[in-house]
Amino acid sequence: MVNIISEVSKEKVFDLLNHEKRVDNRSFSEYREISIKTNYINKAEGSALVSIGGTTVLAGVKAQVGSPFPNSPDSGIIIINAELLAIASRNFEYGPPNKFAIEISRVVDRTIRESPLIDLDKLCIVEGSKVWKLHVDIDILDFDGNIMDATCLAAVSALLTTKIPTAKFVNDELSIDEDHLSSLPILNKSVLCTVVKVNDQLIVDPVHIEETLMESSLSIGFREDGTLCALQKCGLDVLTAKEVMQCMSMAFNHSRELFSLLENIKP
Amino acid sequence: MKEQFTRNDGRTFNSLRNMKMEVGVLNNADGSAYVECGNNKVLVGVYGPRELYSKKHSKPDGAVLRCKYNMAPFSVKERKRPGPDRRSTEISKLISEAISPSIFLEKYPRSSIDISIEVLEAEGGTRCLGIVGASLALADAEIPMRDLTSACAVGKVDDHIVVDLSEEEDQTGQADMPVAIMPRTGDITFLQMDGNLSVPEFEDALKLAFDACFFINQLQQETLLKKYGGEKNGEYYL
Repeated sequence: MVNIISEVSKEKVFDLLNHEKRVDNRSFSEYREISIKTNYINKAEGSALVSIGGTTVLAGVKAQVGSPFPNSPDSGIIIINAELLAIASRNFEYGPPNKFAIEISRVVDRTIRESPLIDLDKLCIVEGSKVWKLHVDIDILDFDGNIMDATCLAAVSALLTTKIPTAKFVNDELSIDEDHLSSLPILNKSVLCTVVKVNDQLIVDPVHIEETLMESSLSIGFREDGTLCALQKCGLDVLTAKEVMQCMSMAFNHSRELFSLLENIKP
Repeated sequence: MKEQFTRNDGRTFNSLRNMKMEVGVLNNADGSAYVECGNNKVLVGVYGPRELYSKKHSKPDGAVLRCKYNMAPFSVKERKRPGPDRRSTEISKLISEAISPSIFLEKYPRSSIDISIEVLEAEGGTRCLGIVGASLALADAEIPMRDLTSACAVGKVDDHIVVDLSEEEDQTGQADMPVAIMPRTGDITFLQMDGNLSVPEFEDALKLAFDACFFINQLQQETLLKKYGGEKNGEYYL
């Protein structure tokens, strides 16, 4: 990803930040408008179209019956994969997921897995041989910064609305009852909030230009009770311990807003 | 309370596994290091700064730090399929970000510094050892640096905050948080966490990680002095 920002634009962003202003007139701790549209794709077991300002991502869940991992024979499987589509930005290219896409997938995966959002043990059909495998694929459709938060929000929203068929073993044969759908066993909801450091100032929900100019960022996954379930620092520069604690309180305040958005999502 | 807690391998909350560090272990690399911690064995080689021919990747205003973290197929219990996977790609990216702030990259435009981290045996905590080894190997390659980055994992086991998680604690524990800092300034260059921590627990864990990193930094300095410094009355000096 080659991002070219002119000196003039850079100086403008930094100048505004020095005056406690941002390019789109938001305050440092203010998010852009968030919209969540669930059940967007009918063919998927669960889906959500999430946009945060100019960033749009689409998550879809497909459920399949598969065999479990040998080290966890009695629990279901969840696989999260994010794709930075080439239509989303001039800086994204076709091809297998690059390190940025992989990092997003893995951080979102940890936030959902460690929460845990879903009781994977309940997704076991026959111990040791048949379990539900949930593929959560997230396509980034339009990029204007902060895809980590958007991706996580989309994945969680999609999983909250996912309905899977009932699977049973009758006479040694697997039967899948497509008429009786059930929601996933949800344990704890979780959200991801990213705080970025630009020009030595901490802001939430960066737009593309702010994200390109950022020094470093900290993504924090929260459970509903306010405890942490995932952390990831990105970026080529450092964070001091004091900045980390500031990030934490900024992100915590915002996580409450995100949870209130998730409250409105009904399976 | 904390002091009385004994971990499964007999360690207290703040004790590290046995560590061994060595620099200059490879003949061809510009710099190299070998780090052991418990049964972890990590070998790091550095090539560069050297010209980066790919125009797409080179930077006109500084060197590009390229880092590859790779696990040997025999390093873990279940054979690991050779080649990069999602985990190693993420770790490679994060390690290069953890090391970058400590190097004067701006001194070497259009060039690359390549770090290869080979995990020969893994027993929990290899990404931190990779960082410790990488900064040693960079120093061994005589690349100018602001500081020797140090790293250590902390976590929560049986509701206790502990340092340097073993493989078992990593898998069964409640939280795992690798941290890397530049000890001179105390700036955090690497921070990850997964598991379950409250904010006060996080603060405790971060403090413990800082202490461990300061200690590991001492070992790193001694390792370099042992190789390149002099010795007087059992003390090493430059």
